[in-house]
Amino acid sequence: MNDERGVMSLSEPERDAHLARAIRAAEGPPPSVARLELLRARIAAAAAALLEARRERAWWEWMTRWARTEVALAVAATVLAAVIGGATTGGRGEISADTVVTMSNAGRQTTAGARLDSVVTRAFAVGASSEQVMNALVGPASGEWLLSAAVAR
Amino acid sequence: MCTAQNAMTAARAMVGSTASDDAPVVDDRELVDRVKQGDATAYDVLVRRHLARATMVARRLLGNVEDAEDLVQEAFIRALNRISTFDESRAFAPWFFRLLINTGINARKARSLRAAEPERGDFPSRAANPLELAERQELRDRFIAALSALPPRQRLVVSMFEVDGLSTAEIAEALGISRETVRWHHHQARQALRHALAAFR
Repeated sequence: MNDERGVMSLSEPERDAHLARAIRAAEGPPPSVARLELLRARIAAAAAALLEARRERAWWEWMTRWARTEVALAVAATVLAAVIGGATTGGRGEISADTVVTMSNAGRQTTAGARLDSVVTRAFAVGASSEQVMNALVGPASGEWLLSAAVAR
Repeated sequence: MCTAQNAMTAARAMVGSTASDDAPVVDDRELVDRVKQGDATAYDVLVRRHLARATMVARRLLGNVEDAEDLVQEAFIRALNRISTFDESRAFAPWFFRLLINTGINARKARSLRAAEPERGDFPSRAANPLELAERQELRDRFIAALSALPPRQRLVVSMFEVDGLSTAEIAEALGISRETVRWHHHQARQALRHALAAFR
């Protein structure tokens, strides 16, 4: 950088070991490990709430990112369940064939939402219980109906 | 998120180690990315990695241990608050030290600091007899007075260069000034300190 006459240069200055020792001595010893550990604990305690808030924010951001996909999947699953339910309840006879829209009738509907609406409305119109409607839409809890339907076909 | 890897990383991140004196197990950038998600272990590793140097820099800025520790805590919390704005294509250390130094310089201006009483180590000397001991004391007092009289930036620059072994480029990045300005500060500080030591060389 510069020599003793104060002439500046563009190169990196040389280090002065004597000066370094003097500065080190004037500054005193570096902080002890115990003291640093105490300070670290203080910082960790002060940061805990901020980090917790960051974790929550990160979770919500993740949820928001996936929300659209989750809703689309849920709708698709509901429609699929309704279609399967409509196709299989005729064979099981729990709800008579004219109370639900069959696969062929459903095909005439323009949207899956309309099909689902038609199934539910017509089922209730003929006095089916809510359990029967649910069974028609998603199948009973036992799961045997699926096997029966498959064998009947 | 306290995985075995995190625990091992924390254990291996020595208190006082810096990015330059050991090979970090986990890169600072990866740690910063995890801190953004709220990972407390990653934050702890970052703090451990930079704590010792941060404390020394803060002590040079403020002159006493208690204020320096308050400053270091404040700087780490500020860094956490601003971590979303950190550009991960750059190194963490210069960004953090710039934050620390700016906070420290503002603190110097804003609040009345505790009286500076630096802990004093042994001054370099081969003194043995009473006369030499007296000379040694005089030298120490004279040098400390010269060091204390330096403007904060000059004091930081000369200490970071001579004691910490940072390059002028690294100091420039940490202080947010040009290399030429760093060299000028270093030159001024070294002249003043050498003058204080000259009679005893």
